[in-house]
Amino acid sequence: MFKRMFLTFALLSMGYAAFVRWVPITYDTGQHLQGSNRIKAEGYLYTEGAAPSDVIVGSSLASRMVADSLKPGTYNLAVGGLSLQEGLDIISRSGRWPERVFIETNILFRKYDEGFIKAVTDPALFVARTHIPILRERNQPSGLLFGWLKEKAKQEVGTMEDPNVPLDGNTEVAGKFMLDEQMKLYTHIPGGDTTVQFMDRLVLSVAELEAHGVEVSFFEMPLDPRLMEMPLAEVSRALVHRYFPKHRVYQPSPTDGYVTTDGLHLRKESARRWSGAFRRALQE
Amino acid sequence: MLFNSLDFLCLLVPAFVLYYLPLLYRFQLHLIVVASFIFYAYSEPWLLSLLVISIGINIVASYGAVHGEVGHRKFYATLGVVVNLSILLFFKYSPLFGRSFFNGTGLGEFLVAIPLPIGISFFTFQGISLAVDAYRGRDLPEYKSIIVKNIWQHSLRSAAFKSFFPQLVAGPVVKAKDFLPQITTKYFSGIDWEKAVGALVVGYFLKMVIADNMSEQTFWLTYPYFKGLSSITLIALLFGYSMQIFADFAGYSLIAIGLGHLFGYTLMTNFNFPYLSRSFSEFWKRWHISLSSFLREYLYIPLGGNRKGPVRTYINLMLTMVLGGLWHGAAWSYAVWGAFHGGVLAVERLLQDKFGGPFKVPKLLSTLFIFMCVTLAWLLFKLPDFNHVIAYVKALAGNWTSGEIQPLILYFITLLSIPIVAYHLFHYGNEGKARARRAKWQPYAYGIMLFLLLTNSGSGGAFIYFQF
Repeated sequence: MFKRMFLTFALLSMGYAAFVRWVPITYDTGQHLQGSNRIKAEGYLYTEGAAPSDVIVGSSLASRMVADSLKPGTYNLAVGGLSLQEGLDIISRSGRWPERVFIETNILFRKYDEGFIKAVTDPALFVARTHIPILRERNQPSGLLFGWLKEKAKQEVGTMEDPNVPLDGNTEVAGKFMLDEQMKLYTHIPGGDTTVQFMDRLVLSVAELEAHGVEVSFFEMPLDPRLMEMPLAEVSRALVHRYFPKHRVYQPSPTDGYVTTDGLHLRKESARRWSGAFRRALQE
Repeated sequence: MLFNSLDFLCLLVPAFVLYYLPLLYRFQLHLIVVASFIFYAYSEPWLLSLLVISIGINIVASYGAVHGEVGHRKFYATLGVVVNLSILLFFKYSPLFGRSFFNGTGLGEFLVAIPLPIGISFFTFQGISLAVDAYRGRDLPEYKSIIVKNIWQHSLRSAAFKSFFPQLVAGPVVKAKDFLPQITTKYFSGIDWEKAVGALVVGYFLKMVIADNMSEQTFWLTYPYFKGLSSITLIALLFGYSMQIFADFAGYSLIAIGLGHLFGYTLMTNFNFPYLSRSFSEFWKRWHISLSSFLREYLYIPLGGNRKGPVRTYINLMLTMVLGGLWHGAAWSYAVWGAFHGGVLAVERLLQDKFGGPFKVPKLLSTLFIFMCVTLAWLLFKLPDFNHVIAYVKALAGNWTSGEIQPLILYFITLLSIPIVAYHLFHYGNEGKARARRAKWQPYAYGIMLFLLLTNSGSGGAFIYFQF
């Protein structure tokens, strides 16, 4: 039994390793939120050579920024369900320092996910994934198959993009519900100790980046206009200005007309428009 | 400590090597106890004190029940049961009582703040089994050799039984009379490698490839996200959760069984293709077998079982299942889940009593019916707030023409369910043919599972049954 078992295992593994090595995979192989986060983190950690010139860090809000509309070579390290600190730590642990880092400041006070960082930077797994690409999240067979099917469907049916289709599948019902929930959450401001703790940590990370010659800027993602004027948004904004008075801060206006699915996340068309506006703002 | 962590591997490998060193043969039980204590105390060391206290109480109770003065033996056994149940009640159900009856008071706050020690439901049940089995078998000569006269030896054996790390925190629930007779010197040459490796490969595959990946999709069962999804997607999510909970728990049980084999112990089979069941009573003979047999032996039969007429039988069934439901978690939704299963078991029994049975229903039809009912009831596991369960059922019934169809969810639930369905179908039909089929394809299937473990594992979440 063991002979046949290990032979099957060895043949499959070698065949798959050869496939991943020789067949270029250019499409998205993300299977779910956590998986997509790991793909981004691993992509940054395991890519050899020079760092990308521009890197975006932040939460799921900034992860909606559309790559096509940003400056070529921009790496979006914003991670859904997490926040800016995980992205900053990935840069720091990789030792690959970009020219510029843009930090999304909408979600400043989300709990740091040690488990995520541990999972992508675990020393033993790090070495294994560096040398054996089939161990990386983006090469999971189920994701590869799904991505390929999605690409085929796109080629056969053409792009099905509808500007009104939300990015995360939230419908009007859920979207309205979520907006109401966000409105409640945005009235609460974390206690002084919590804000100081988060901001101090951010100050240290920014100092480390700048010590490596990285230019750091901050930006806010557009929200539902009602949320942009709620206490939590205003306090976050004020804190960024107070702690980083000399840094550039890009800020959308509540009257820009961006549309969200749930108060926080931009719809596809709005995400594209905002990404373009962000790029132009950088050029200016 | 999780079975699917590197930390666990770092404990397992040295423990395994030392266990089979000829020089240390006579310390095998000591080694099991030490490894189990490290395993248990790893994330929260203070919890070890509770486990040690529980072991101590059970040592005294079981020893007294067999070797105590004749007139005091029942007292010792009763003491063992009462203290075990009190520990369970205090740690597991205080928060529920606090929330339900003393909300907003100082006492309520105190009760809600009591932490739930991991695995308490499992090791207290094993403690009850030790006390009860010892008392029941007190006059049997073979039992006197299980509860040995030497108190130090008895303590060591009981500690190894209660803390045996492969099944300490999430079962299978092992009975004293099944485990203690297996205590002998174990030899490396005695390991049944085929059984051990088979159980470990399938167990890790079910947990890390199926359950962990499925959990990322069934996240959408969370309130309020499901509200906007189409009925088709909601059905798929429910189906996916049914697959996930099976893969998660059966996976854990198989890993425990495989580890048991590595250390020379045979733990009871906990899952026997439950989704092939054709009746609810059959389902409970196939799902979490160690718990259902425990409940039957230590609760249903002592309550009178089916010996006191039909009405008492239905009541006993209901009571056993409600308590079994509450054993799973300190929330009323678990009691409702238990009541549902108790109710359908009672109805099934009533129909059999009235009209005779078994009924002639096509096998596939009855299997599907049972699967659908069981799956619908899992909703109470996933959504402990009863209002959310109602909201889900409403959305399921009402979103046929509205709501979002999520191709990503549908694709992954289908893909991840294929191995579970195949696993069950492999055993469907004639047992002899199924066995021959298994023998032929098993090595290749294990090879594929190993490959997918390497390349397609999920994010390594905790086991669902850890919370119980």
